[in-house]
Amino acid sequence: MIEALESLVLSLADDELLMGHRHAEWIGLGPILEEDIAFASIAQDETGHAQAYYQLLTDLGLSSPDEYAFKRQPNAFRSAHLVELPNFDYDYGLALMRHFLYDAAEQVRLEALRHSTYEPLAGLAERLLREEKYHWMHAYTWVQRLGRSTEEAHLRLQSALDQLFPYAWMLFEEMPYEPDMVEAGWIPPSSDLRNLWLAQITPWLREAGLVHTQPSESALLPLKGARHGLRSLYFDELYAEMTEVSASDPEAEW
Amino acid sequence: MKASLTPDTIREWLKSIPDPEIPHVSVVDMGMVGEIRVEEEGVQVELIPTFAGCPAVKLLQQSIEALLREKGLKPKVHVEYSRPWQAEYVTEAGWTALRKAGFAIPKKLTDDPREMFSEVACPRCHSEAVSLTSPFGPTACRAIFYCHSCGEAFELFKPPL
Repeated sequence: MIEALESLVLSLADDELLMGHRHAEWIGLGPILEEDIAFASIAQDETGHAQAYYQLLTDLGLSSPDEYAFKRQPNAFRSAHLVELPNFDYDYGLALMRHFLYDAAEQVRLEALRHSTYEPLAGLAERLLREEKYHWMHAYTWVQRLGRSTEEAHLRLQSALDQLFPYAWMLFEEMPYEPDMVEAGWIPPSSDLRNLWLAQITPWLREAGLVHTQPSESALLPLKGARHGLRSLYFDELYAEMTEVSASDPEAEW
Repeated sequence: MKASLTPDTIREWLKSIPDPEIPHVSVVDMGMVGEIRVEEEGVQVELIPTFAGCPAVKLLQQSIEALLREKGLKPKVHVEYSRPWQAEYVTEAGWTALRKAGFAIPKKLTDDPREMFSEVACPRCHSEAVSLTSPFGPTACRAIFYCHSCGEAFELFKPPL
C-alpha cells in the first residue's frame, strides 16, 4: 500500500512543485507590479504545499522533501505535463489561463481530499484549501475581467484555452495504483474528479465569454503516461535549472 | 527536567521571540505556538505556520530551540501542517500589536475572500473608501489596499480562510 500512497502524494506534490517554479519565472516580468507580486506569492505557496505533501511521505520513513525535490530521476516524477510547459514568450494570457485551469482543478482535488480516509492527507487538504482560495479568487477575477474586455484580450485567452485544454484535461489521468487508493477511500476516481472540474469551469468560462471543446484522442495521446513517469519535452531543462544550486554542492547542509 | 516547569512558563518565555515577518508581534501572540509538552526526555513544542509556504518557519523553529536550550532544556519543535492555523489563535495582545504596527484587520473572518476584503477601513484615517490593490503583498499573510480618502496605501493582515 505504501507504493499507492507514494503514487498519490507524489502526483499532488510534483504538480505543486513545478507549477510553483513556473509561476516564479514571472518575477520581474509581470505586466504590472501587482501581478509580479501575485505570481511570486502564489509560487511561494505552491512550493510550500509541495514540501508539506513530501513531508507526509518523509513521516512514513521515505525520502526527505529535499531528496524528492532535487535528487530524483526524471521518470520518478509524477507531474502532469500542464505544469511542465514553459512560459514560452511570456504571454500573460497563457500564464493566466494555466493558473485558472490548474487552480480550479486544485479546488476540486482538495475538496475531495478533505474527506480522505487517510487522515494526515485530509488534515493537510483542509489547511491548503484555505490558502488556495486566494489563488482561485485571483485567477477567476482576471479571467472574468479580461475575457470580456478588449478583443485582443479575449482572443488571447481563447487561444490559450484552446492550447491548454488537453493538458489540463490530463491533470486527471489515472494514477498508478489508483484502484487501491479508491478502494481505501483516500481519493475518488480521477475520472469523477474530472467531471466535477468540468462542471465547475464550464459556467465560469461561459461567463467570461470563453468556450472549450472536448479534446480529441489525437490531442490527448502524446500527453498520456505523465502520471506513470513519462516526462514532457520541457522537463529536463526545467529540472536542470531547479537543481542548479543543490547540484553544485550535493552534500551541503541548508 | 525541573519539576516546577510548566507549559505556561515556557509559553511566557517564547513571547520574547518575534514573528520574523511582522516583528511587532510575538510568535505566541500570533497564535503559532500550539501544544507544549514537558516530558522526562525534553520539551516538545508544536509550531503551526500561518501559511504552509511561510519561509519564516525554519528560522522560528531554530529560534525557539535555541532559546529553550539556553534555559538548559532539551527542546524539539514539531512543525504541524495537518492542522490549519486559524485567525482565532491570535491573542488580544496580538491584534492590538498588529493594529499598532499599521495593519488593517478584517472585520469579518469568512471563508469567502470577496467578503473578507469588503468592509475594510483605512488604518490611518479610518475611511471605508478603500479599494483592494492586490490580495498578495510582501508576505503571504498581507494584502495591499489603497485609501481614496487620505491617498495612502496600506496593508491588510490576511489570514488563510
